[in-house]
Amino acid sequence: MKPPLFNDLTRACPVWLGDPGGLDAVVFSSHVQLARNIQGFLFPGREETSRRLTVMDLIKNVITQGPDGDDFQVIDLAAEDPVNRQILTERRLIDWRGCAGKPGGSLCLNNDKHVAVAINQQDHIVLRAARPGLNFEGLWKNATAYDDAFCEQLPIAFDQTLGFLTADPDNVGAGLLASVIIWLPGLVLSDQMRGVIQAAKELQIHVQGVFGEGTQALGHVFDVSIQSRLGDTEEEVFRRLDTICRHLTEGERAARVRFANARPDDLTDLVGRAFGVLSHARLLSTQEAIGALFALRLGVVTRLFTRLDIASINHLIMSSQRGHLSFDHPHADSADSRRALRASLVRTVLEKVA
Amino acid sequence: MKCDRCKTETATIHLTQITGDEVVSVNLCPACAQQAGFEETAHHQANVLSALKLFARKAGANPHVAVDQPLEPALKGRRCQMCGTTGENLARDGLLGCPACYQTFADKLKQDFQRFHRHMRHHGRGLTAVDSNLFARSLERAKLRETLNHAVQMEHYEEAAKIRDRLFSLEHGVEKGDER
Repeated sequence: MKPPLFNDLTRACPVWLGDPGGLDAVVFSSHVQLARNIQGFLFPGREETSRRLTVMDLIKNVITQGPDGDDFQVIDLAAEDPVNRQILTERRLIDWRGCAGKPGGSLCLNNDKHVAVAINQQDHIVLRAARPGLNFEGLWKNATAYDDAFCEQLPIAFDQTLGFLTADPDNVGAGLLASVIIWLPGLVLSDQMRGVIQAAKELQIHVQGVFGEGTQALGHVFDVSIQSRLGDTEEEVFRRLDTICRHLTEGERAARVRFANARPDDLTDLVGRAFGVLSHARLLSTQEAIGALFALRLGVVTRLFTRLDIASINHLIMSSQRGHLSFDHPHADSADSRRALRASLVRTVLEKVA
Repeated sequence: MKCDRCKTETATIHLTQITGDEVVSVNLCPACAQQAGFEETAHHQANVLSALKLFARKAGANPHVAVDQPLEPALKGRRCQMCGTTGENLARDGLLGCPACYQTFADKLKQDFQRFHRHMRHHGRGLTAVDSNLFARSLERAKLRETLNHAVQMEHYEEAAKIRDRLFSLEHGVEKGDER
């Protein structure tokens, strides 16, 4: 029998694909990540297994004994099977740095999937909270409620001068990573992305493709993030990221309009080709599927393609990824069988609306 | 020093190329150097590195190719008393081993913070004092649960039962105290 948690997880649209209602959404989601460690233990990478297990128990207890403890499920990452691990990666709930996949590596996941606490990754605690859209204020309130619980109940490694002590000295101080997932097809198609990445670099803002790197980012989805430096307050970090995202949103909207007006044939061609590939291909790689599905999504938001809604496309984007596909179809155990399956999955949905 | 190629003659020609962090050096005797057409290429400084690699492949020699960045003085010989992380560890993977490392490597970190960070002092969210008794009890319980799991796994059921009772009394002892 399939574990109900993963069954639930693969059905729902992940937070990072944003609110499917917002047709003109540029920022899909906002994320904060806080790194904390417990005094008296070595960082996970140096700590011995039995003591890592003690750390896990301590942290798990703070969460499950908390006011909404019943809303959390604990996933033992070391024991989890590879398909389920892949699903967690595809849903951007975990990265596998540090000891995440070793004994003691766990993930406490909130039922609404907006809060995830990774235990024994690079740091003892990596608290992740996410919200659709650009909303750091609400997100920060949400995250600090959990951070308060950790700080009140566990002796967190903290130095009066240096702040929160983390395994990576670059992250010392606030121990914060703030990021947004942002969709910039207009800027990419009108060749402005190189400038954006260059400018961001100068502002110490990190831009990377969610699927693939740099300006070649598949689907034109980017992860824009700021890691706090010593002396940064959390509010400053959020303000900087919020400001740049507002600029990017404005630029992206203008670029979409300009592109649609100046090169209408290019836009229609892009969407039409994607539709052609998705509705007729018999073999689809993940890359091809994701690229075409986001192109179709662009068709939806520019009202060129109205037969599917954003939610259905988001669902296809997720279910055509390797982990999700293998979860629903365990017999598809080779890349070739998955390519055939992916194509038929997408084709079936498109045939219904054709 | 023997020639890298013939391994018998004394090497009199020593070539070293440093590109970024990469140091490549080859030591040859005059005969081997000439055979490999090395004198010619050596004049073209820009091509020395590729020539070196090409030669190394052709001659079947294994030139000493070292990605050898001298360790910064602030890291040399440093070793954290608490976790054993050394200056070499930190230089290699950029990670510290424990909170005490921040003291052990304070000099090096201070340099980095001055270079890359905005201030030398944390200005963000602070920390409230933790009730140390409360934590001591949670820690004891966490350790007991870990021993209990281990005992069950090893099928030491008698021991497991004892630990379970101890855990139970710890978890419920507080409540009993409240009733009185």
